[in-house]
Amino acid sequence: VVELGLIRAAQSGDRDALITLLRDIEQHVYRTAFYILNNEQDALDASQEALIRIYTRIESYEEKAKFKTWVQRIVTNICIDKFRRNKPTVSIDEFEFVFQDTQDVEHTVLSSYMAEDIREAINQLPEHHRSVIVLRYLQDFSYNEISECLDLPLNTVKSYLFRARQQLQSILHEYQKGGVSG
Amino acid sequence: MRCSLAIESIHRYLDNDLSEEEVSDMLGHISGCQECAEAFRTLKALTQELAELPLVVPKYSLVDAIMPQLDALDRARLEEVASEERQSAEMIPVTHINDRKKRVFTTSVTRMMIGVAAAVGILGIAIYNYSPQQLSDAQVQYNEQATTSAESNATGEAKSMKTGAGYGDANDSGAVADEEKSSSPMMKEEDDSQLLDSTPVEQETSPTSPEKSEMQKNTETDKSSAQLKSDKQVVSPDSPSLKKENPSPAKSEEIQETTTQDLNPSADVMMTQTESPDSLDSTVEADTPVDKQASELSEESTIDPVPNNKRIMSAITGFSSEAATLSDEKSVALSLDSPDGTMSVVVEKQKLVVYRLPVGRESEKVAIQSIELVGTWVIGEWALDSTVFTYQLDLNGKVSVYTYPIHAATVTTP
Repeated sequence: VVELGLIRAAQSGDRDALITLLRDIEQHVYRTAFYILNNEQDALDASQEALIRIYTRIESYEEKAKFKTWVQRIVTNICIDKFRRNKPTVSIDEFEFVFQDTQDVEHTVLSSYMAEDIREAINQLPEHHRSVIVLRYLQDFSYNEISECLDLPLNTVKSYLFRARQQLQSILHEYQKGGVSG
Repeated sequence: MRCSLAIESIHRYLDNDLSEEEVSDMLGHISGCQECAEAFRTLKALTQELAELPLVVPKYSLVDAIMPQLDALDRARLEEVASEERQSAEMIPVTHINDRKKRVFTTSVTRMMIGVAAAVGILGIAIYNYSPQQLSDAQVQYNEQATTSAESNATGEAKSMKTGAGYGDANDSGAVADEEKSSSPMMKEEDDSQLLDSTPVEQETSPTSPEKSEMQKNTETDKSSAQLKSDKQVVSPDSPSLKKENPSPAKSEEIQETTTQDLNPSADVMMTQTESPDSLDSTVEADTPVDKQASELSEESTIDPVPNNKRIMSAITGFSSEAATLSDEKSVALSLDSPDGTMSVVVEKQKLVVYRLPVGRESEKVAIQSIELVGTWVIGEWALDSTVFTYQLDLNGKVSVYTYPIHAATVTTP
């Protein structure tokens, strides 16, 4: 948790405080970028861009929002921009089909996924589902914090999260099947 | 609990969003529902996997990596601030320029006001001198008739004038009226020939005089004379004539001399044609009975207008001399005392001398400082608290504002 005094010092023009603040958050920023973009180099670029943006806009932060959600909002926005530029949007319908399929085979999808597979599965989620999952599991955000960060209604956050989990399950199940057959 | 609701509860449970009661409800449903129990297991496993995802860290310090960029940003920001400061510093003279423009505007306005006041003064004096005639009852409608008939007939057609006595008189007076209306565009020909030049008037009087005398014989009745008077009265309020006739007293005197020598009503007629309404008044009166009387009256009339004109002229010259002294004061010596009476500033030919006025035992004012004035003096004034004297100088059309702070005793220029 970033100390409020440090944030205020940074906002009032204390450059050292601002640098300290950036050092405190840089790993969180990078982690989000890494899992959303699923690429080390892109993650490095995006998180540096995010840190520079935080550096220049620290005055615009208002305490009514949590600092970590403000930071993550900046990172996710940058990542989603990059993400959109890098690849065409994957339609949700594509996953609806998989979603239907999961009910039958859920028992085969159990605990043996590799982290690599999960990363790959996350990478196949649509941008907002992906962001929600990353914030929920890699930043340990609550519904409210995700809602604040992504500027989405609470119910939307929930439905995205539920759906993302179902989709991940399906994707991972497909991998499992592929792994077995392959 | 339905299965769909149970699945949602499982999700919320995994997100720590269920109350204890809801948890027990969910667990109750799972214990009885095989499908939901299976879903619970898989989702819980997935959540655990997700929660155990490696907390990746960047392979180098991102803040260190962006430091050069942050420094560059700071430099850019500083330059921006500096340029803003420069801009704001540059803004000051700009506002001053605006200020100056304003002041120039106001001074030019005040100059204009002085000019207007002068014009009003001259006009006022002139109007004052003509007031007796203006008071006479003006039959405007009749005058219009007379002038229009004069327009059509009196433009030099002698034949029509001869036709009838009353008509001829009407024409005559109408012509006079139009001549009086020297500025009216309707009678341009007569304006040119009779009013503006004194010589053509004299030339014209000789041919008209026989006509006039002839007319006189015809029109020696009371009726016609009365008509004439009324005409004249109508004519007289014509104020535009004042302007043209006032500045030419010499001319009118000259004309009067020639006309009085000529005697006879013709002279009178000529006078009415050329003279100011004052002389017109007397000459028309003289028109009526006997020639001798007429000449006498015309003599009177020659006396009458001259002082009038002289008065006007003296008023004019008085004003001009006044104006001259005003301008002299401006350029040569202008003394301005401070509001509290302790200081005085005297403008003497390209120099601004600041004096301290005598206080108590001191008998003479003491010069404190003399400042060379670069440019022409425009205006100066003391601040209300007498601490600062502000003045404006005109140098090649540009007005600069200078202030003289009494205590600092230095001249600052913006």
